[in-house]
Amino acid sequence: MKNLIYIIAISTLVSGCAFLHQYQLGSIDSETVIKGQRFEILVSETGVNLQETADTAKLFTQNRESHKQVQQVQDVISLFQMGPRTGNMVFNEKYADSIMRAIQLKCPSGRISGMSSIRETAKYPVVSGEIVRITGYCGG
Amino acid sequence: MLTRFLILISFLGLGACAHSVHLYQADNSNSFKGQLIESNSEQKVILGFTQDTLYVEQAFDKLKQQCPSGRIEGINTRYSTSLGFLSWTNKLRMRGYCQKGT
Amino acid sequence: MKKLILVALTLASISCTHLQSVSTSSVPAARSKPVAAEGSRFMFMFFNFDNKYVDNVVMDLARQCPNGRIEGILTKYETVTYFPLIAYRLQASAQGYCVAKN
Repeated sequence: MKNLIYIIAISTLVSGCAFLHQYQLGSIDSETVIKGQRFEILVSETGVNLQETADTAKLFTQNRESHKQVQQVQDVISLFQMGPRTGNMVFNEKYADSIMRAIQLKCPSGRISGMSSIRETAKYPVVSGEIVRITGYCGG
Repeated sequence: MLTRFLILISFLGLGACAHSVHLYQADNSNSFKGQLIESNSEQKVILGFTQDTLYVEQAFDKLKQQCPSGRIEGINTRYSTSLGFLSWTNKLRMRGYCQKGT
Repeated sequence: MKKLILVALTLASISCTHLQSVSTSSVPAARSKPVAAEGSRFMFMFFNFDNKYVDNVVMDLARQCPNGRIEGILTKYETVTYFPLIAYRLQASAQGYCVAKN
């Protein structure tokens, strides 16, 4: 049991992968980009991987019957969560909606160029960070 | 037995509000002056069978209709899917600033 | 067996369209001249050695607006599945408005 805990702890520390899903770049006004102020906005939401959750739950059960039950619960839940996914599923789809207001605060003048939109995932065991990152250049 | 049933029901409840955000795009702008306008469109898909992605054009057209003689700047687009039982709903949300007289 | 083949062929004839990505740019006030272009490739299994089919989209749009600028561009990238894993189409499309150069 102690070894199992060490393995999980070390796996949590050393694992962590970053995945880039989408990258979009807007038009670039050279003067604004070179002379302007760079800003970055990052919002994220915790994503959950149910398959990894079930696999982790199985680690803490001893008998085969419990493994089967955990797998059955996971299979039933999967039927209720069908659909295309980018990264892991989240429970709040509106977490990125604050970006528009954040852009306004970062660049009150509104003169923005070279805006890049990045959708990425920072993956950890069971959970992940579903990240939307916006960078741009604000002209005066 | 009751405990397992309750755990299953609670997981199902959590599963009912699962979403996946595919992309969020923020476009350049020249200014934030103007009226904030917004449009939404959805497409229900059952078992993956769907013929088109016209909900994208619908959202864009709805946005343009709210600003018929103006310029729309700083468009933010969010494309996400709400996961469901043997089906899902694709959603598109667009927001922008309508600048009239430009 | 024949019924199974018939069901498989029927399912295969229903194409399933999935939106991969979408992007927008600022929409102009003048929208009298819409332009559109599309690039696509039919894929057999996973054999694809380049993505040059998207390169034509920009040139096609530019040719429709020779003395102007194209604004209000809505870009879509979608996959149309005819038969899972075997036959599908990758499609990139763009539509916008041709406006006069200032």
